[in-house]
Amino acid sequence: MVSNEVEILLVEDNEQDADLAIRALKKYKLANKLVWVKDGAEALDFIFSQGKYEAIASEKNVPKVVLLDLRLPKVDGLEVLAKIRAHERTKQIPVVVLTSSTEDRDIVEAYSLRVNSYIAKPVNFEKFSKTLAEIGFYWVVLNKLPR
Amino acid sequence: MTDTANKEELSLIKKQLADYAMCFELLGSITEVMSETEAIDKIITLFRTICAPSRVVYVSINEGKPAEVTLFPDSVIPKPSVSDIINSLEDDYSWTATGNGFKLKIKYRDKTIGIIEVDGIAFSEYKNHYLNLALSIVNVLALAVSNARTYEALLEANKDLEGFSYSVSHDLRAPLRAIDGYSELLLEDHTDKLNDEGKSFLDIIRKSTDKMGQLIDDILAFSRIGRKELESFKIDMNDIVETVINDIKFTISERNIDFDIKPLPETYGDTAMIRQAIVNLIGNAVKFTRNTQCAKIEIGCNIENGKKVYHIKDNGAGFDMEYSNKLFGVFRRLHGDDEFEGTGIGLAIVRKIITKHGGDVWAKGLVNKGAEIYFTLP
Repeated sequence: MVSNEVEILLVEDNEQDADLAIRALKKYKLANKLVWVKDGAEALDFIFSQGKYEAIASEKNVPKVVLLDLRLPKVDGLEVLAKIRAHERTKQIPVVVLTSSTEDRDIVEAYSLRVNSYIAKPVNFEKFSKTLAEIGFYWVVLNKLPR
Repeated sequence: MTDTANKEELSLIKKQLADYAMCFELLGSITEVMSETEAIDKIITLFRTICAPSRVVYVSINEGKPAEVTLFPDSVIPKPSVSDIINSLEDDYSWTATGNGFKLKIKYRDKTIGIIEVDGIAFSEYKNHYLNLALSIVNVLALAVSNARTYEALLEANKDLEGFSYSVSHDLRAPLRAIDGYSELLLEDHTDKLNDEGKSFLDIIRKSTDKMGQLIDDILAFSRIGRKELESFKIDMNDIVETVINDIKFTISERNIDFDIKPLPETYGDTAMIRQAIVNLIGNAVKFTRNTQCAKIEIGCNIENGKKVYHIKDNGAGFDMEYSNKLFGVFRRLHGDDEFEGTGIGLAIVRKIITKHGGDVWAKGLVNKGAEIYFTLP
């Protein structure tokens, strides 16, 4: 059985956005098993157990959900998504794009890479925390993954 | 004149006519909008087809400097040196005959934008005829090259604009979220350290952030319409108006508005965009009749001079005709936020949609007597 030592992998370069997201999730006790990485390259290191995450056994690194920003330093969000989907071991990991962009081409591209959900970050903090709580609750608590 | 001379004359005229005909046929494809490289390739093909030269050199000139050299055949002949080209550019000629061909400058608005050199033509006895032919079409060639350049510049500008709004969409919202988020956290977690004035300041910060977020969304929606490609389908306007009104009624159940909807002729266009325009127009009529006792909104269409002129009339707040030209501008508003909320994007979007469909839009109104918006569609 796949153990989910990590439940949420948050890929977010903006420190305030990450802080606000983590606070929102904490409020609902959804941030206990959360790892925050700041760019696409680090996200891939984590998911594929390479670089500084090499020591962590890979089956422990399968998060219940990846919250993925699109505009990221080094490797952008859509590239991260493409790589996750391209590998047998990782292709079923639920990925939720959580971004400021509401551009059609990003949405289309994300869905063609089989994103599980595409959510635009609301500017309003109340809405933002509510959105985060809903995403966290759905993917971490409700959703069932193949074993 | 002898018979032979007559015959020769006749065959020359025949050839000339045939060449002109071929030339004009080829010109048609050159004037289609395309990149400069494609236009140059077609120009070279034209000269190759007409006078079968052994070589053609085309030098593209940009801002008085040689930009690119295109050769036919590209493998055999050496490229002319930059100094040769510059000398040739400085020489005062529009065209000149060379040993076994000719050279001409392609000029647009007195600026040389290209030089074409045709050499080693197959039938050198026809050199003058070919040169005349070239001179008769050189202005069209200039126009084609110039159009291609404008087209390329336009594509570039569009790309810049797209990059700009993409960046607005991504980067401008993040700091706003931080401002709003930390203001809210201050109110939540440190409320004991704030007096009432401090709390009301934070409220103002949060309201302004919301407004800024709304403005960003609106300007993006506006630019997205500009960039979106039109689809064209038959549109049932009655159906659109009916569903839009039903949707709106749902949100204003406490209001009693008399909707008078006349039969509307069908039109052609992009259904999603036309629906957006109708949503904005009816939404405005509903908003600006908020303070009217017996609110009435009429939607109809008249055929005027063979054109379908649709209208939406209300008996609401109206506007001063003096400002009618400002009504459709981006973020232009004729009412204060305390009277009627809004960012001033609604009618700008309507105008963008209607003009994109080749229609016109205009407004009539009187203060406190209502507004009438008219638009035409194909």
